[in-house]
Amino acid sequence: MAKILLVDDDVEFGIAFSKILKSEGHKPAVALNTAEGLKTLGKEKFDIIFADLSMPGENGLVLLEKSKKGFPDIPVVMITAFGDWDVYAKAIEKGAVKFVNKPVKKEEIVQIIKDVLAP
Amino acid sequence: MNTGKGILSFDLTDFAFSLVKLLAVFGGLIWGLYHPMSSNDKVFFFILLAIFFVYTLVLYLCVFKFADQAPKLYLFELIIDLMFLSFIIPVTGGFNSTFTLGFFLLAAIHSFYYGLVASIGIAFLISIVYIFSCPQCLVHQHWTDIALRTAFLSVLAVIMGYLSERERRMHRQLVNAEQFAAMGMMSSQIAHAVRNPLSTISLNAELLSDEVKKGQGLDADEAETLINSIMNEVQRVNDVVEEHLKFMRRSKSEYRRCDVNLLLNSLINFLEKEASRKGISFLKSLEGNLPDVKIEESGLRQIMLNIVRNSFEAMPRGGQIRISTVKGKDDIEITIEDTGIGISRENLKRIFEPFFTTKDVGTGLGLYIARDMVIEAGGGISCESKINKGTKVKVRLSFAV
Repeated sequence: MAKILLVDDDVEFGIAFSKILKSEGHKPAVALNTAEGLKTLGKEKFDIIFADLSMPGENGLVLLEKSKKGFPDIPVVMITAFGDWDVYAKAIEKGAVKFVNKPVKKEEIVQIIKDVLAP
Repeated sequence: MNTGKGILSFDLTDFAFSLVKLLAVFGGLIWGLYHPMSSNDKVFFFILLAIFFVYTLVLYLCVFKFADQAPKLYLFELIIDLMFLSFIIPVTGGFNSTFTLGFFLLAAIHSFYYGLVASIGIAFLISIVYIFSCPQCLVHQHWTDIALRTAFLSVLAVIMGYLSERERRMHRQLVNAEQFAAMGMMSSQIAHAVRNPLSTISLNAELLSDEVKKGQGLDADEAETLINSIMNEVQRVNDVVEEHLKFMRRSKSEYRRCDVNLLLNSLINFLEKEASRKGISFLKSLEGNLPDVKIEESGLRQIMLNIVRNSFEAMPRGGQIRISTVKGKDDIEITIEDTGIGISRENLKRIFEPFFTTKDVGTGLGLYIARDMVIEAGGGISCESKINKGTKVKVRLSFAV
């Protein structure tokens, strides 16, 4: 039962992702870009952030950086269609707790949330 | 300006060489004016210098105009320069003339231009000319001095040759790396554009599966929503792939341009030896300053090669091939005319048909493919012939944008 924020410019993915989270008993929220995401983080308390890497404008890495600065306690999971080793290393360096590749299955999401929120 | 396909094209390099040459002439002039020389020698020196100056200007004008012939012209330059040096050296101090350094300069420049393998030949040639540039002086020289000088010269030549190979290799690597990077970027763009919709489809499918498993509690509206979402995403993937394909096709067509005269010249060069062996001569009548045409260079080369080969085969006892280019209002007409055995009226009707051939060897596809390519490029091809008089093939191609 976690409050989860997804920052991703893909609207349809956001809808599907939210439905999945809801069906697992979590409380999802979606932001379509980094600016909106940061604003939302400021308004409510979230347990996990899922951030898409390649968004137009400020991409997922920027969101990662800024959220770590403003909200260092919230774990950030990068999801992306990219799968570049370079970027993977950079994300981990900047403090991402996990890095997942799209397409992502429901069980993967569920497992990740469990792992990240484990005490 | 259209530059040649040589190792280097007329740009910084040719310009630098011509500058060096003119500086050498200038240096020689100053030398001649102030260095003590007998009056006979002085007259001879300045006559040589004047001729050299004029010849250098003419040569570089030719290099500028016929950039694709540059390698041949520079070889000619090397030989003439060596001749000049061997005339000038006896009247400027013989073996110890300062002008012997000219041999080193020539060795360095030409080795760099032609590459490592050529540098060995160049070293050898220039050494020989150096040694015999002043035969009467040879008797006064110790063989050790001669040997050491030619050794220095040869080493210089080979080093320059090696450096030029290295530069060529690095340049090739750079080009390859750029192409590779471009391809890589394209692939990741496509991967990204496809994977996003795929993940939505995948999640929606899982949600749908959960919904169906509910059995009686199945929410039909929700199920329909999920299914619609899946179908929309499928369409989205397809649209993205289609856009990438369109982009690839478009950037390919940007490369569809070709300098006809340049291509024909290089083709004739390529076939020159074979032609002369068969007693066939080329007659060129290429209109100058033609704009590029809208066809891929490799395609047009294949077409022209096919037509000219046909002409070769129509003239087993030798003959003449006339190649001309003419500029029209919005197209260019290439004509290839031979004095061969010609084609009968019946065969002429079928000449562009696939698999039609009057030869024992060959696929019969040459002209068929040629016509296909020309038409696809928005042009036209036609053929006239008279038995025992010859055949004329005309290819029309529109200007590239």
